[in-house]
Amino acid sequence: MATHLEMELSQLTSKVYRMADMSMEFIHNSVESLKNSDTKLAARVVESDSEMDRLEVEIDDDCIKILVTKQPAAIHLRMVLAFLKINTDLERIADLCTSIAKETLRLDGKPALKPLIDIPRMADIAISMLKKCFRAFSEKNSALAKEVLAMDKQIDELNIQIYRELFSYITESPHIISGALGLIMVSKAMERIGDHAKNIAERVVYYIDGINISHE
Amino acid sequence: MKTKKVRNKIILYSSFILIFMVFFFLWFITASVYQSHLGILEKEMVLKLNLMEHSNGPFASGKKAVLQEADRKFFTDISHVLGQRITVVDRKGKVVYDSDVRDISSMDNHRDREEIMNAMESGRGRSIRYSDTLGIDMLYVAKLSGDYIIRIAKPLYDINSSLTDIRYKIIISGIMAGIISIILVIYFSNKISRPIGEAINFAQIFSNGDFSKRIMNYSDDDIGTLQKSLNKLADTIVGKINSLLLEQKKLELTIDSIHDGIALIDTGRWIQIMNASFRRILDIDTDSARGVYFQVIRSSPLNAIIELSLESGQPGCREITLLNGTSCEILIIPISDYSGIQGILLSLHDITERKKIDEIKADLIGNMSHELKTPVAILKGYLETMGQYLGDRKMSMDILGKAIANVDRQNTLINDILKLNRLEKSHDFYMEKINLAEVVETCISLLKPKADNINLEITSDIRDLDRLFSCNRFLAEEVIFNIVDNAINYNTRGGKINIRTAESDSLITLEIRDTGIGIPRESLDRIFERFYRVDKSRSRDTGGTGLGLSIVKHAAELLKWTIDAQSDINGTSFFIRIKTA
Repeated sequence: MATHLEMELSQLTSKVYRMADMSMEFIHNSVESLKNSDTKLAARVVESDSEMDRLEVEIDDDCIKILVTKQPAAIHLRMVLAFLKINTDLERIADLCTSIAKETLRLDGKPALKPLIDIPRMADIAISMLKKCFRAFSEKNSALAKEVLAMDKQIDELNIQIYRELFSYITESPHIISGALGLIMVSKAMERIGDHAKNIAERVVYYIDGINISHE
Repeated sequence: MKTKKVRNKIILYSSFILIFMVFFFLWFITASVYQSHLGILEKEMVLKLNLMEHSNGPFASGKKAVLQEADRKFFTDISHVLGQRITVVDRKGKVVYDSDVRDISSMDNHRDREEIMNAMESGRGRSIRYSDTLGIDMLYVAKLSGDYIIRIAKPLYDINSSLTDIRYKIIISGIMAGIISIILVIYFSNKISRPIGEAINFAQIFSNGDFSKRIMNYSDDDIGTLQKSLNKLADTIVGKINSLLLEQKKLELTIDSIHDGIALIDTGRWIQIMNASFRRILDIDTDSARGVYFQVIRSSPLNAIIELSLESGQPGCREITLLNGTSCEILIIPISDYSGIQGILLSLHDITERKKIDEIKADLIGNMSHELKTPVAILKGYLETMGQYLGDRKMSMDILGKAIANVDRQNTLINDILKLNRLEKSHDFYMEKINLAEVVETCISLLKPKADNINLEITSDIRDLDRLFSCNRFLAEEVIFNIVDNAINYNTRGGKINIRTAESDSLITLEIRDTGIGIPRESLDRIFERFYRVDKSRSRDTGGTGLGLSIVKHAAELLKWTIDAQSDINGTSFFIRIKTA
């Protein structure tokens, strides 16, 4: 028989997972909108950011309520603490995606500077990072969560590559500066999404093993 | 709680019985020894009294009222000889003589003593009392003799010491017997409880999931029967489990082999069943079969639908697109019994392919009607104009020529459609041995004038094809003619077409390369579709019906050739791969 605490934690978990699913959609949709110059999709992404904000506040409130009224211990406590941080990371991811979608809106149907290849790749890596994090969380498999840490490096490398490429473009023809800067911003946002995913992986390891591996 | 062992119970109970027995025997033996001893003593003392009565003549008569000195002496002597205390009491209970007490006047009246009272009533009496004077249990025996009562007393030293002796021996032997019996009890109880222990052990191992163990040695009593029954029970259970496992396996295989994704989710949010297709469609890579659905499924629209259905218990059918681009039709079937909803059955049908086909079909119908309508509209225009200028012979001829050209175009188109249809539908193209180099040369010579019009240079090096292949001349011509024709149509004035071959292993690759306008990457895999045009404006500048490459594709399929295309800004290359073997 599940205790009250376990029932409340299960509800909280469901909310966090919903937020995770939504942030994965955010990443996918924002990059997709940029890739296909799909302003409708971009507008939808920007709109649904408020839903993410609402969920974040709700999850924060739930966490605090559980901490105060149920006073969880050991793994339950770590779960709530991990959720508090994961929650923030997920919300930040959604914010970054919103800024990518806004870049699409700014272009207003014009195609991006060049066909996007590496940025969708970054998005795919970020999505699979998040997927892995939450799979690790469900299975309490810290080794899986640690795999995510290495994946962040791939995103970082892609970011540097894009930066270099765009830099050489700019030096060739200065009239594309605005477009190039937009893409650099998007690439940077993806890189930071990767960092947030990495943070989440670290929180997952903390939840499972009870050790803090950030800044190692 | 620790369970009590049968062995310990046996030992405990038998120890109780043993101790009880020892004490009972102790009591019984001491009591009977004491009684018989006492009886002998009493008898002996009665005899002594009789003897005294007999030997003391005057006293025996009992007529003398007063005790004579001679009598006293007699008693004293007897007392000395027998080593026993002798007391004489008269009928009033007054002590008249006592061998151990000098001053008889200080002695109490003995009338209320038990033995004296008995002797006065029945002529004889006895009693055992604790003597304060001597500090020991004394046996008193009294006899009425005339007016006096003679009493002799004996301390129970002997009897007590012999009883102590007996008690001691009984206790010792009792302890010894106890120890030996406890050892025996332990031994036997072990012997009895060992098979029980084995049975328990077996039952525990079995219930923990090791179904391979059995009880090996049967004991020869009831427990043996129990053990046999347990073994039989285990066999039956294993049989049942195996058949259930088989059934489950069959069911799992059936469910897994279904192409649609199927999952059963209960109201506790747990996924009870999930087949392979479900995992494939939703990209689920967790190993564990079970889990809470929102932890397993990574799609918020789907999770929202599941949550809603679990709450409402309503069946439904929805269409969603997943992050990986898969389109799914979701069928929700609630499972309920009299007590309400028990869970939902989720069926996922991958409709990505269908959607694509629908798109292509819609495109095809649009394209085809457009292609068919255009020449007819033009023809109508020309004929109407001709109607106005019927008198002008030169003008009429001119317009007629243009009208006929459009009819020709329509004709070509219909011919192409028919040809394509024939290629798609029939497989009755017989294979013959032909020289492919000849075929290519024929095609080039047929297209040469067209190429010359725009100053195209066609170069070819096709030595590898100069041998006999098993193929169909008509199909081969269709493939090569159409590709080269395309290469001319989409080329620029003064461009080049290079036809060359490369041979490797059992494969000859025929490459037809042009220096034309190229094909954008995203269109490369659609150019073989009917009526597909890279240029959406459908310009007729380049001519053609839009069916050429479709015909190529189908003809090549029938010949078992493979065709693919590569393109960059410098032109397009078509590769025809022909198996020589």
